[in-house]
Amino acid sequence: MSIVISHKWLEEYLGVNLDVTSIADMLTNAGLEVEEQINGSSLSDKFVIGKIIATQKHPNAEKLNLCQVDVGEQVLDIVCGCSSVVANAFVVVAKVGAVLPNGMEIKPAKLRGEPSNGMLCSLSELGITKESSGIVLFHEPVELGQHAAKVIAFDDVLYDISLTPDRGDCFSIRGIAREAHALQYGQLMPEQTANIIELNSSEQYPHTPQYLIHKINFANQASKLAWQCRLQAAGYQSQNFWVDFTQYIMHELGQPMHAFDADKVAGKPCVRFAKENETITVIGGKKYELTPEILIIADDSGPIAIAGVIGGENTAVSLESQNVLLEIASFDKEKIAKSTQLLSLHTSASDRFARGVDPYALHLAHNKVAAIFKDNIESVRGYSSKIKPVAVLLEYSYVQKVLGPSANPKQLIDNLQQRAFKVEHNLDQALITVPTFRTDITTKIEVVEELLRLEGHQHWQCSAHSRITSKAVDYSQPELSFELLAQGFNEMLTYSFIDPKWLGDHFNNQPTLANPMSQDMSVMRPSLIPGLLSSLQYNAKRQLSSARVFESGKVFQSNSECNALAAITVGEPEPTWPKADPDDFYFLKGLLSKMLSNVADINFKKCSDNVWLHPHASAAVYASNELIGHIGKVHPSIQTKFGLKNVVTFEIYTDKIAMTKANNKVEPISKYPLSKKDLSFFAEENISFADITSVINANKIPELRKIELFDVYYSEKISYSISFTFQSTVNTVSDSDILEHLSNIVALLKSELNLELRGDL
Amino acid sequence: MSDSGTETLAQLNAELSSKIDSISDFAEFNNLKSEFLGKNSALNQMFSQAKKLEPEEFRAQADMINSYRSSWGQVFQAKQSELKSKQEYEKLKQDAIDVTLPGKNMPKGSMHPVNIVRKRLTTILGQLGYKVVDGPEIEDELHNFTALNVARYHPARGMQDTFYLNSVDKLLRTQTSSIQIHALKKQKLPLKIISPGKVYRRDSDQTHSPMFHQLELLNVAEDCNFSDLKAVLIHTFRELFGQDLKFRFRPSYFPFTEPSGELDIEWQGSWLEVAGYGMVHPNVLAMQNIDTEKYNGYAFGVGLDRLAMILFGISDLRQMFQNDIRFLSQFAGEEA
Repeated sequence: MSIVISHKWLEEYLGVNLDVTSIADMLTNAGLEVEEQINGSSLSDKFVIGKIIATQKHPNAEKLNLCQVDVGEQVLDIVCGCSSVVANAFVVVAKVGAVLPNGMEIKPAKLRGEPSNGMLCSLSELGITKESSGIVLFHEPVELGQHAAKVIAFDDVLYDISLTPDRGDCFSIRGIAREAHALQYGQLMPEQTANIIELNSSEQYPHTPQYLIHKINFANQASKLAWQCRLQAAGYQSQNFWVDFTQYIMHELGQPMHAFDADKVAGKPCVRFAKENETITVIGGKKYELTPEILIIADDSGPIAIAGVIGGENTAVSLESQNVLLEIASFDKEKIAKSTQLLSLHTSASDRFARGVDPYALHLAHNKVAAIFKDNIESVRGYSSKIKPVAVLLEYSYVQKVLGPSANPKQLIDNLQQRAFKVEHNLDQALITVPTFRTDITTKIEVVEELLRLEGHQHWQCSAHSRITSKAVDYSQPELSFELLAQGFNEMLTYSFIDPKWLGDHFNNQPTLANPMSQDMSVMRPSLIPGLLSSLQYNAKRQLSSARVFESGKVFQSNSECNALAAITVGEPEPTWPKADPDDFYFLKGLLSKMLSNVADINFKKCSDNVWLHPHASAAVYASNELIGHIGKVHPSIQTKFGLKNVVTFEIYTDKIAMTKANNKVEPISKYPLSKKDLSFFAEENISFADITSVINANKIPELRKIELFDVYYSEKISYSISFTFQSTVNTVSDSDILEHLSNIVALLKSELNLELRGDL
Repeated sequence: MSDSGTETLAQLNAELSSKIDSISDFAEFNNLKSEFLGKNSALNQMFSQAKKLEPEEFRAQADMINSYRSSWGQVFQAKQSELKSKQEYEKLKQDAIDVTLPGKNMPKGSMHPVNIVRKRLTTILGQLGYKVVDGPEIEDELHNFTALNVARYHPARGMQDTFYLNSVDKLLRTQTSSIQIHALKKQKLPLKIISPGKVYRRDSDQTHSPMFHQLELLNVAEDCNFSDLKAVLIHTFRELFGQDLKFRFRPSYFPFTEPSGELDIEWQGSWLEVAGYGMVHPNVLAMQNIDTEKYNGYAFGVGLDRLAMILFGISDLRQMFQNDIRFLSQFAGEEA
């Protein structure tokens, strides 16, 4: 949320000169961040005031208009893309030869066959504002052909100030002036004092502490040029007198107002909650369904405005309006905030009400109205009163507790007096009366925040380093990804929401976004694999079809989420010298085994139910009988879908792995020789290597230290060549012992798995 | 000994000195060796002659001859080992390789820049005693908003666009601050935690991504205050960006902290916003039944992606999630 403030308006409001160079920094340091400072540009006399005499649609382009523009000494044909051009409006014309602040020079041109000798300018094109919704349009007569710079205050400086939600008090010239003056002069600006209007009414409306309706006989008309310029520079659309007047007062004082066409209102308007099924068509033509939580203004016929947000179209003022009902009200900020959220409708009025409007501003606004319209005011009804400010009791010790022992509470609290707070010290505490415009301050922590803000965060004393340290936490715990980095894997980060088309029919209860950025980012990923494949596809399209990548992040199920780590190798190795082994299943399996070597009892079991993986070339990974992930070749149909080749992956759920750094006990090194014996077997094709090792391991031979596969080939049968290593810690294992162990093994493998020994023992 | 004998030996000595250098193989070497030290060598003949002399004279002659013999022996010894090592060197030539051929391709892995920053920060803050905790990314209104003092219709809920899930009351967390609530519920006070992780907002352009990363710090104790918070922030960012880093602390607003502020650092001539900070709002603590007269806390949050962009000069946030390997591999060897 931001507000655009004119430096000149600020000075005019304060009646003093402010230093342009320092005010932006001061505001920023006070928590009113000046996001941009726009310095008025110097426009040449090629920029003049013109009047649109006639306008028609461009015959060859739907979005363009042909305008005849009178610039005094001549009438120019100008093609304009702005949709709001209208005959009799006054505009700023850049004539041929004019140079826009962005460096573009205006030249005679033909646009889709139609001549164009100049350009109708918007405020942003003139370099006055950052953005603008269309060209500058005036409705009040101005002398044609005169230098535009003389008409619009170009030598102004605009501050685009970003406002935090707590600072409703700064949502006006009055509020910013208060801050700017205090920053530059160290004290609060002299506030215009309003005559408090105390009006009683038997009827009191809900959540509406003050409510005034002025009936004014004042025919609508074009608004003053000075207002139009200021409003447009501040980002409002100038329309007609009544709309501009309410916007002008709101921008200056922070008090939103609404003008109804008095002759279109049936009976006496009142404030109430909407009824079930009531609707309203608001200014601009959009229709809203109302609910009983929404505060509205209603007349005898029904809703005529959404309280504090926007007026209805039926009762809106037009140029024909002769009498208006001018509403000035104080609404509870929570109620207006709720209306805007329920309706998703934000207006400059609701932005102010939702942040809190100074109840005193109602009286300032009323005084303005009374002064301007004097005899035209037919009646004033409603209720309003003197405002009772909030008082907060603050202990000195609390100030020090929050801000630090270096704080001097009494002195800090005294500073508040320069900001219209009233302070009564009493022993070790103070009673602080908060000015009405600070609707954000009601508790002692909010007062402390203000104390710190006035003192400045920047210069607040910082504690010694020794105070902020304590027992260091051990972060030496290795991350699983360390091994992957060492093997040349690139870490990726993909979006947690993915395209549902990748999931097919397999994940019916997957958490899905109600309001995704787009359909292809709408479902929470059950796996890291599709996101990685999609990123690999992106790379493959850029001639990077061979890669090793990984990602760690959350994966989601219907009611849970879990940290996961996935790695993928893809592509055929390029022919290189020296020759490199291709990345395959066994490369990733070896890598995963190494990564998890500190985790107890990792084992791999054939599996065929992972949707991403090849049903006959994938395995489930278990740690102590708990499933911790999968590994395998990516399903060929998925590889094809992503346009990738030779894709192997694993994904493990790292939350399920206890990353305990085991302190290994050192085993004594045997001083006896080891003996190796190689045997080869023929096995039926349904016998896996794991079947063989489990039979051998079940036999538990203490001297058998290692069983290593050194060759496997497939013909009609499978041939496994296995190396057996024997060693004892107590003696030399004799040849006859080895022979006995091996004959037992051979016999077991024969009887349990029907393995045939090739050759002799 | 006769003068002529002495002369002859000196002549032979000079002859050997000049000949030995030109010897290049073992055949020449053996010829020369037998010529000077062999059975029929001049030296041997002189020795035979000397035997015929008086014992006294013989001893003198023999001493002289033997000193030449031993000196020449050393010359041949030296030459022999020279030839031997030369022969061995020649033999090794057969094993010659082209050392300029490429080494085996060892691809260099790379950590994602966001995670490089995350690791650096967890190390810096770990050394201050902060412990990493993890929290859910799918949250509910209570943890993401209500318990963080963002009332249902508070304007701050409009500050960020939230992703909602189809199931009732579920949303993607919009900030890692929701971790504060989980931590305050579960852990005992005092509490020092950091929580890095993904957050989600409905926004996408050059500087906004619908998914990005934050790191949240929370310290709740009987004795912690705003001065401490400033010290932690200054320490953290100096460790990350350099010891002469300049700061701008500005008041700001967050519903879950009070006072609240934003921190800018001076980087390459301009001020860049890097953190939001503040004292934990007493309402946040009170909602977890913590005595706010006894305890208070401080917290800050940083955008990891943003810090990575500043540190590594990345101009488009979206590049972070495009996963172009040509981008990622530039972080190979970057120390975390």
